[in-house]
Parts: sequence; structure tokens; C-alpha cells
Amino acid sequence: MSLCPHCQGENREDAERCIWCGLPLRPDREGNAAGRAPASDTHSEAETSDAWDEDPLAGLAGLLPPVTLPPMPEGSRNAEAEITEQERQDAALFHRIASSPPPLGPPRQPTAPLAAPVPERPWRLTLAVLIVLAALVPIVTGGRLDAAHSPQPGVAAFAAALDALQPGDRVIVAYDYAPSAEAELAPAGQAAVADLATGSVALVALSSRPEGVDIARQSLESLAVDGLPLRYGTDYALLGYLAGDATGLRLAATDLAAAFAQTDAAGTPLERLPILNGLNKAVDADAILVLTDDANVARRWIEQVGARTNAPVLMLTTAAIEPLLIPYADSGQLAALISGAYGNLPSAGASTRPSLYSADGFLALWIVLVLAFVLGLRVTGRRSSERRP
Amino acid sequence: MRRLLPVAVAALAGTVVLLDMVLAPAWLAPLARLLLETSLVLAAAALLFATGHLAVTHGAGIARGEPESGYRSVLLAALLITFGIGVALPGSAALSWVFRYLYTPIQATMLGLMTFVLVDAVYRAGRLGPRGARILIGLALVLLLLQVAASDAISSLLPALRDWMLSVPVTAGARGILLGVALGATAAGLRVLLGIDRPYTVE
Amino acid sequence: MNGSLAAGFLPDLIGLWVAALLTLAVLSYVIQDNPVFRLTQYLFVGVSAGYAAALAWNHVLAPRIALLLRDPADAWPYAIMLALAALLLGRGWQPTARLAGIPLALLLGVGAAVAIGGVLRGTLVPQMAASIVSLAPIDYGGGLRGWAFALDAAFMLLTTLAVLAAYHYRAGRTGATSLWTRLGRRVGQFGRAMILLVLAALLAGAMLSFFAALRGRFDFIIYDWLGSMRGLGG
Repeated sequence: MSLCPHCQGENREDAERCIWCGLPLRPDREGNAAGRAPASDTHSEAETSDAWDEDPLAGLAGLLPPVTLPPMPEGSRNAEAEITEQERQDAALFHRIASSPPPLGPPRQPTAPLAAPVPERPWRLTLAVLIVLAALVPIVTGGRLDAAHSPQPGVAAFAAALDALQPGDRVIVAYDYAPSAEAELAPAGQAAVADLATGSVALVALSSRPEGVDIARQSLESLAVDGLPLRYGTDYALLGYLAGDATGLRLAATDLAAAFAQTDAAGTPLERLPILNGLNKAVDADAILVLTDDANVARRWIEQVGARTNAPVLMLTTAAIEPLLIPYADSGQLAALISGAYGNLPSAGASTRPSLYSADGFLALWIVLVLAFVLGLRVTGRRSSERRP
Repeated sequence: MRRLLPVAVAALAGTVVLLDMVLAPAWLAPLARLLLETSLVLAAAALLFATGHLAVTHGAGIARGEPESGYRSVLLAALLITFGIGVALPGSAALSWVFRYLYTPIQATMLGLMTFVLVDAVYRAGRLGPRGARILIGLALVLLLLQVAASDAISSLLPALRDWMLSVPVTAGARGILLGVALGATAAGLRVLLGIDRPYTVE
Repeated sequence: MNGSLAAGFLPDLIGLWVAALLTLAVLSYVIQDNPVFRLTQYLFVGVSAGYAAALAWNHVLAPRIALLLRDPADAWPYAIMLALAALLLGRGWQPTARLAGIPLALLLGVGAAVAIGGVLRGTLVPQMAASIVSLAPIDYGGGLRGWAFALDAAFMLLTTLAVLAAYHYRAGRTGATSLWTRLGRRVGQFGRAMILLVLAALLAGAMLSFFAALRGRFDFIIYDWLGSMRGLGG
């Protein structure tokens, strides 16, 4: 008898897979995934089963952390009537295990990743190098594709909405993104905010995420660095962190003072800020500009504030969540929606600061992804043909 | 009776807020506002206590000499120092320094790291994935190409195709998903208000 | 974050190097998991938890405590709020554990109501209204253009319904079923195909966002960090 290295269950000597947890007893480097049949079986199963019934994210489960699998006893596929010596041994093993006293603790749970094992190391490093090269492509090409790139439909609507604001109007700017989205959102966001400040539109900044407060502070301070004559409390103000997610937004929509405990981020009473004269509720603002990388945050703004105001709600989001918000733009709940990835290209092109942000790099990324996918398909094809007799 | 008290609190508070949102009677607004602000304070307090619990858990682990005590010490020190600076010097240059040079680079780079993980996953899906995953990846690459190559200089059809794909099938599919999620959220919320689900009970 | 930094200003210069080293430490995971990467993970958890807690105190609790102390007669509701918040702490102690259920119940009850109200008014009604549009070509200007828009509208309505049906119907089961059930399964299959398309669009977007973040870090390494060393910073 041999012991399973994963769940310590007893198995036949010549068994390939554990009868208790279904995992390979001797994991090989051919990529036979833990908990799954060998690759050739997987492909024949895939060929016959309905693709729409399979979990389409199964192949991408490597993006998820490993999860604990329940034991999956694999029944015997042998339907012969004659009892062989091996079957007698199997029966004896089963009898011994079934008649042994139950364990005192919980059953041993094998821990196995859902995903296939990591590709061979050389390929992995090669792909990593290609990604780095793709990121550095703009140094060589100089962003040639940027000027030719056709802007998203939302860009014109976004610009028009900003232009429609008059001097003296007050805009609530929600800096609801994490530093990880700064590369994608900051250039277009900063350009929008600077455009508003230049047009004497007052900015009331806040964030429903803790990290957004410092991002807001840096953004507003950099406006002053850029030479705009802005006065705190009159031309702009930072209210601070709005806790409570949807509840906080609902409260801010009806009572800004209550939502921020009567003070701004620096502790100044709100009643001393001229910018907030007459602006008691978020829904009374002349426009709302939301910068976010979180679909739930975006939805909350639309549901708790946008649904209760006639003011235009503009949204600048990351490309990762944009598809989920397009229905809100389509229904008119959002006056404009642009994704940072492509909404940024005009800003990046106009910036005097050197940057790798350009459509050339995105195209290089696409080439690397196609290469990785095609490589994976070819490796599979070659191994399948090697297995055929 | 004691077990029913939280159920009654949840139902009553939720009903007041929901009525205020749907019907908006003027007499109910102050009470609703009070309940909303109380929830906001409770949410912030819960965040604070959760952080305290994190510190106590890791501190206890270090005191017991559990594995990875070195890493835990770093976590605890970082937590206490950042919290200390944040409370003693709110909005200061020191807190901005911690956010700008410690928090931001780690968080931003971790998202960038996902590029490598993603390419790995695309390779794995091509090699071992079920057919559904390969179809998904193939579609994603087509959509990505449309985004990247949407240029009149190549063809005027490409931007039009990109815009059509995003504004018709993707919008319709996303709308269906949003409606499904919204219906589910409504059902889940009603279950809490009606006391069928009681996630707040302490046994 | 990637604003111009005056080289020579010591805290910023030190910060620049710390940020660069942390960036490289996280990127070292590409080669393999290592102690330096794990250290940055623990550091990040500590900093983010401490930062969020500090903001919760500074922006939510401390101002209300200050108002209560300054004017107890006017700010008495804050006393109740803070008392309820203190009850939350009692969850970990058996004698007071049940009392902790009250503030939790209030928090979750209000949260559920806010979610329901927001979803009804902000998503369900507007999105359903947006799905119900005219299918008559004449309403879109007639002619070929009108037909194109009308077909688009019909396709969108069908797709939206199919996606909703996908949540309910699953294909693949055999056995005697009614025509409606079979039709529902086919529609559900189409809906799942459309969900796959949306997932593909999200995946494509994620590819762009991840890559944008990576290039942002390369911008920092090349133009800010190395640039400051060469005196060529942006």
C-alpha cells in the first residue's frame, strides 16, 4: 500500500491517483492538474461537453489563491464480472479503512490550487521579459499610435460637460481610487480638475475611501504648484473621508455637514468655508465628477447620489470596470463615462512630462498576450499528437 | 425577547430609512438622518476595532513565538507607527510621506504584477484550459485588439466596430448582469429587514 | 504620486529610494516568491490598516467627540452613537456579546435599506426603462439607418432578457420537458454566451488596467528614480 502525499489516504501501489482526494499520487511535470483528469482526457471531455456549461474562468483560476478541495472519491470504472486478485486486495483495503475507528479530528482536507501548475520556468521568464519589453516599447516608438487613435465616444461628451459649467459653479470631485489606479486615472483626472479650476469652477473634494484623501490632497496641491491662483475655502476645499460606503453617500446626498461632522479634513468648521454657502447636500452641486477604479463605488454614487440629482454625473474609471458602467451611460444616468486607459491618451500626449503611457505599449501587450495564448495552444497540440498511437 | 431585540432594531431602523428614501415624508427625515449618521459612526468604529483586533492578534502571535514572527513584527510596527502618526499629526507631511513612499509603491506595483500573472494565466488557458476559457480569452483578445487598433488611419470600420461592440452587445449583457445583481441585492436586503437572515446575531 | 520632486530635499530623496526599493522588491516576485516580497506584503498590510484606522478616527470619531465635549446639550445624539459604537467592542466578551448585536443590527438594517432604496431607484427602474425602447425603424429616422437602429434595439432587449434567463435556466439536462422549458434553456444558453462576452470585455479592460499600473511603475523607476540620479528627472 502507498500513502497519498496530500491527504495521507491509503492506496494501491500501482495507483496513479488517490481514491480519497483524486489527486495524483506521483505529481509529474506534464501539467496534469491537481484534482483533474490528465490533459488528454480533459480535451476529450471538452470536445464533447457543452462549452457554455463549463466554468469559463476555470482556466484563469491561477489569478485566484489556492482553495481547499473536498475529498472526491473516484469510483471504479471497471465493470468486468470476474473478480481479479487486485480487486480482492482493493476490497480488503476498503474493508480495513471502513472498519477502522473514525478520526478524532476533522477529515484531512487536501489543499490544491484549482489552476494548472505554473508553466515551465524558462517560458515563464521569457514571457516576463517580453512584458517588460512591451512596457518599454514607447521609448523606441515615441507614441506614434497615439495621435492616430480614435477617441472613445465618451471623450467628447466628457469635454462638453466640463465646458458647459460656468464660473462660480460648484463641482463635487470624488477621488475614489486607490494608488494602483493612479497611473491610469491621474493624468486625465488632473487635466479635468485643472480645466475646471482654470474656468473658475469651485471644487469640493472628498473620498469614500481612506486612501483617496491623500490622493485628493496631492491633486489639489499640485494645482497650486501649476500656478493657478486658488484660495482654500473659496476656490476649493477638501472635506475628507466619507465613511460608511453607501450609507455615507446617502447621508452626504441629503446632509453634507452631518456626513462630515461639521468639519473639513483639516478640522475647519464647514460653516466657515464660503465654497459651501448654500451647498448643504451633495445633490445640490452643479456637477459631480467621480474618479474611481471600483465598480461598487461607482454604482453607489449613481444609486445614492446620481439618482437624486439633476446635475450631470461624470465618471472617469479604469478600463477594468468600464464595461459594467456603460449601461448607466446608455440610460442617461451618467452624462459622460470615459475609461482612463484610453481617455488618458490625449492627456498623455499633451503632457510635457516623459511617460511610457501610449497606445504603442498597449499594442505590444496585445502581441505578447497573443503569443502566450498561441504558444499554449501549440504546446497542447504537440503533446496531444504525441499521445496518439 | 433578548434574541428578538436585534431583529426588531434591524427591521425598524431599516424600515424608517427605506420609507425616507422611497416616500421622503418631511417628518421622517430627521430620524432617518440620525440613523444614517449613527451607521456611519458605527462603520468607522468597526474599522477601528478591526484594526485593533489585527494588532492584538499579531502581537499575541509574536508573544507566543509563532511562525513568521519576524514578518508579524514588521506588520505590527508599521501599523502602530502609521496609526500613531495619523492620529498625532493628521494631514501632516509625515503622514503624506508614509502614504506616498510606502503605501503607494507597494499597492501600485502589486497591481502591475498582475500583468505577469495574467499572461501566465493566458498561457495556461491556452495549454490546459477548458474550451470555455479559451473562447473567453479569444474574445478578450479580439476586444483588446479593437481597442488598441481603433484608428481611422488603419480603417474607419475599426472604431465603428469597437463602438458598436461596446454599446450594443456588451451593454446589453452588462445590463442583464446589473439587473440580475440588483434583484439579488434587493432580495438579500429584504431578507435582512424581514428578519429571515440575521447576520448580526451573536450565539 | 509621480509629480516632480525637488532632488536634494532629503525626506523626498529618501522616500524616492525607499519607494524604488519597495517597487523592485514587489517585482522580484516575477522571478519567484521570496522573503523580501513577503516582507513588503506584511509591511503593506500594516501601513494600510494603520492608515485607514487613523482616518476613521480623525475624520469620523474625533470630530464628533470634540463636538460632544464642546456642546453636550446640542450634540447629545453623538453620545448615543458613541455608546453604541463602544457596545461593538463587547462582542468579544461573553457577558456583553448579545448586546453587541444591537449596534450590528442597526448597521446592517440601515445598510440593507440603503442598498434596497438605491438599487430600486438607481439601477432597477432606470435600467429596465432603458431596455424598453421602440423597435419601430420609423422612430429612428426610417430607411436603412432606421432598420439598423431598430435591429440593435431588438438585439439589446433580447440579450438583456436572455442574460436574466441564464440565471434561471441551465442547459444539458435530458428527459421530458415542455416546449417553454426547452425554449428557456436555449435562451439561457444565448444569455450565457452574452455573459461570456461581457466577461471577455472585463478581462480585456483588466489587461489594460494591469498594464497601465505596471507602466506607471516603470515611469517612476526610469524617470523619477533613475532620472533623479542622472539629474534628468521629469
